[in-house]
Amino acid sequence: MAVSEAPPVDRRKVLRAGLLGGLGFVFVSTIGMVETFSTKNVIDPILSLGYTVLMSIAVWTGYRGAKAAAVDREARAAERILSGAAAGLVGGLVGAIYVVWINTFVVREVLSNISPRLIELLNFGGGMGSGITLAIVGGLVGGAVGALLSLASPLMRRALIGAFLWVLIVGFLEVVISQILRELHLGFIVGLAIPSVAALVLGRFLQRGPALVFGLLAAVALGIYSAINLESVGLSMTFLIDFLYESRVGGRALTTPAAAVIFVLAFVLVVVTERPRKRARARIAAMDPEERQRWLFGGVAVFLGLGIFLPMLLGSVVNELLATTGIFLLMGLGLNIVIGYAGLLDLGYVAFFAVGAYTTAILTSPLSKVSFDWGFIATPLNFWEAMPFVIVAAAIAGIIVGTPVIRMRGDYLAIVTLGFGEIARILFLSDWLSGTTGGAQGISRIPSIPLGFTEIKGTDQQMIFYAVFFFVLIAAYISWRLQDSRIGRSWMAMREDEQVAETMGVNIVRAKLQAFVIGAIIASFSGAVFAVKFGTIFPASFSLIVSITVLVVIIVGGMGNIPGVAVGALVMIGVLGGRNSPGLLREFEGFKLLIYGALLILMMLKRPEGLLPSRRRARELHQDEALQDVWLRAAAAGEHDEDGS
Amino acid sequence: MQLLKPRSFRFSWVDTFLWAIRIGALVFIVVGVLGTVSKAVDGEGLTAQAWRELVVTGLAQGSMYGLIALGYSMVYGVLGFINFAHGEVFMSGAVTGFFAANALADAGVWDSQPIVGLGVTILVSMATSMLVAVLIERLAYRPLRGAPRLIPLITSIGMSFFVQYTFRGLFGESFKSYPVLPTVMQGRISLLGIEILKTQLVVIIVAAVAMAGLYTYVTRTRMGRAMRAIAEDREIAALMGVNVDRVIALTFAVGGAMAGVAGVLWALLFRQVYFLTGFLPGIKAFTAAVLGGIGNMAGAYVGGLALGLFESLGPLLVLDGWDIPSVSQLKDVVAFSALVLILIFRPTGLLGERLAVEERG
Repeated sequence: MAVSEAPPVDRRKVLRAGLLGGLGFVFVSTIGMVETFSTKNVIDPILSLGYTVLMSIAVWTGYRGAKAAAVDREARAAERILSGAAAGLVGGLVGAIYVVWINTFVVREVLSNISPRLIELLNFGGGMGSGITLAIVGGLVGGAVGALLSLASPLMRRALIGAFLWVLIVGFLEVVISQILRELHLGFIVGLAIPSVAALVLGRFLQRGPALVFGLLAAVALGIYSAINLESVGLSMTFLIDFLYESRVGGRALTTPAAAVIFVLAFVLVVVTERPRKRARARIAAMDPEERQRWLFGGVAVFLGLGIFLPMLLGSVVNELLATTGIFLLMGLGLNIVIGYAGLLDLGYVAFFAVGAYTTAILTSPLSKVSFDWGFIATPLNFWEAMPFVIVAAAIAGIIVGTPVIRMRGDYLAIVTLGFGEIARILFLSDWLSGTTGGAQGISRIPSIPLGFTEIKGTDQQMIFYAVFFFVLIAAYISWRLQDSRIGRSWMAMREDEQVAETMGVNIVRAKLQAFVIGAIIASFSGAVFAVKFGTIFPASFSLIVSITVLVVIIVGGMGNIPGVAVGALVMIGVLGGRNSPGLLREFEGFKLLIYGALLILMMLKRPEGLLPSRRRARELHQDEALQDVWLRAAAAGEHDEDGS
Repeated sequence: MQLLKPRSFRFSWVDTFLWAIRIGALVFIVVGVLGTVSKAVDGEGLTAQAWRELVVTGLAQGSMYGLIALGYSMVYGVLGFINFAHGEVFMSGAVTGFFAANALADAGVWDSQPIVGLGVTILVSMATSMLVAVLIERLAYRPLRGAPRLIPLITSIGMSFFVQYTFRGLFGESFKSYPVLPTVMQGRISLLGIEILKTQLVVIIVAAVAMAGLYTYVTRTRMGRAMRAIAEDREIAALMGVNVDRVIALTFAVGGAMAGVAGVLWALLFRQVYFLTGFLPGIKAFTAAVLGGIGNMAGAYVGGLALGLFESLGPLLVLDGWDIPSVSQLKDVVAFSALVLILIFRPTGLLGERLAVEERG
């Protein structure tokens, strides 16, 4: 065995990891995160979210510290653990100093979140002594655990982290999971399973078009049938709820045994499914396009079934959350066309959303001052009659914003569109237009959506979700069809290099305007449903934050990829919460934008293609573009020199 | 510079549309001004004194915008992207300046030695802003050198929110009112026959001094030369022995320092600061930088002054002539419209853009 001369432990790296960890500890404590998060129990008596954050910091510190030791795993295990623990210790010492500081001085005048409650939390109930001890010991132990984690094989590591995350997820999703378990009945399972299987089987024999229609019809028919007939045959799941969760003052949280069971289950599941998953992935990669399409299509059928049946199981709280998520998902799909496909960074996207909402409100509300009567159509219109006007208004807005910026470079475009967004909001707010837009009071009494046999009321969250879902399907279909169409390919060429694309015959003006107009129309759908959902709209609902939130949604999810946008919307809006609506984690409310910002930075640094990237986009971002850029810059510099001489 | 010129001489409908906007904007402005003038002739409009005051207010605000705009412009010069988080650098100075000013006021320095008090406050604010700017560069932008250009821009948007809400977490979300100004600095002073507020005079003077200092620094010192060299061509500068990372950090530091000065000046004009204070001035200052020609230092200052004047005079001079009610609400619309119009009329800004390497896209 040739043991090479192992490089010594890089002490500076260990120290840096430790200091960073310590700073992280100080940061999350000082900005009030620990205190707020401590109100959320994850595992009933033992662990609150606040302590989870602190613990993760310690483990992460140890993990980073361990990486400073020699690379050779087997030979240097002890060294790794030691350097991990050392990093944890450094972090713990920083934490201890911080604990002493907040115990000794009253700094609340300036740093408003260092409250007595925080001090109590960091002292772990005891006095300053116990706080110091626990900070140091916690850092040390956490660091060692992190180091052990770095020693484990990648599979082990993934399984451990995965299991831990699953515990967190089941803990966080308490509301959703217990609601589903309570309402679950056979009808749902049958209603979901039969059409999915039918669609998959039929897909083997039929063209995808007819199969899709058939799957859909089967889904609806069977679903309704089973929902009516099998409801009485409930699967009593309440025992599971009692096992999983426990009510406490700070909200319901996982019980300790449940947490242990979930941890073990998830761990085993990750380990056991490792090989089948690998095989499945290989098989998907080897599939021919037609087969892949068929599977994709089965996936779509399942998604449809879920979209139709899941809301029936959920209460109004979760349905409202889903509806909000859908509204942002819809905007995300639109912005995905503008940024993800065409590469135009539009920071004023909320303007189109506002145009949709205001047009709907002005035309449908009985309180609106705008009125006309053209014989065949007269105000107040209903939702569907207003829709053509909304689309036209959005298209015009798209052209108004799009045309001046056609000749602008990427970053100028960003700022100018941002300016347009603000102009729109201020104009809606101003006294000047208040005759039409209602000024700061906005427009109220926006009626519900008539459906002939029934209507979609803004207060009926389930129906609103269906309305959103309907438009999401339209937008997803449009995006999907456009992706590989002639327009889609010219957008992609333009995103890559505008000049080359133009030289190759892409009509840049048309391509850009198409992107703006289609994006604007999709956003206006979202705005229209938004107006109905709330019944009243104010200019304050259309601030820049909305644009930024949508941007975060598509960047975190994966630009240029439809499922990616959906994942982004679910994670960002459903869990963290959108503007004006708390997500599942209400404790995040005050830190939402902080986390949005941090996520944007982290994603850009580590994974600019997003969680679920489009394959092409990921490739672009990772190597080709970087290489190309260097090359082009060199070429441009050379050209400049020639110009200058 | 090629990208800024029309690429072909085909006169497409886009050009027609842009010309229509140009002509429409001119007509709108001229008619508006004529309307205001006719009102003034009828004796309805503002008095001459009020107009003069508006000009001074515009100059004072504009010099503040100019100082912030310098940061955008310098960073754009060396790195070629918009540091969206620069408004937050300004805010961080303004907010920490508040604590310094408060401490000084409690100690009595603010009243007994107004110049010392103001100076120390400005120094504290400058130091914080410098620190924040350098930290942002180190943590978020340095790892992204050479990435496609939208990536640092999106990162800076994230950074902007991160800094804002970090400050909210640290110091709370309440408005922070600077201590009442010493009596020496209250009231008006008569200068060249114009009665102006003393605070505005102080703002204009301090900004001009800071600007002059910066200009000397960049044109006369070694580091300034290194900065200009990097703006000219980063690779060649590195070959010539310039420590690129250090100079870029320094650029952020200097830009941050100017934003810190602007932070205290903001407090002199408006008294109150809080964690969202940086957002609007940040965007306005960027507008000012584009207005003057981004990458061009003198341009940033001139652009700032111009934007300040547009903002204070525009609503009353142009919009009032159209009989639009409560024009002061539309101040920001004027500022943003100025941005759009300038980019349509003269994309290189008033004094011309100074960018050595024109990047693609």
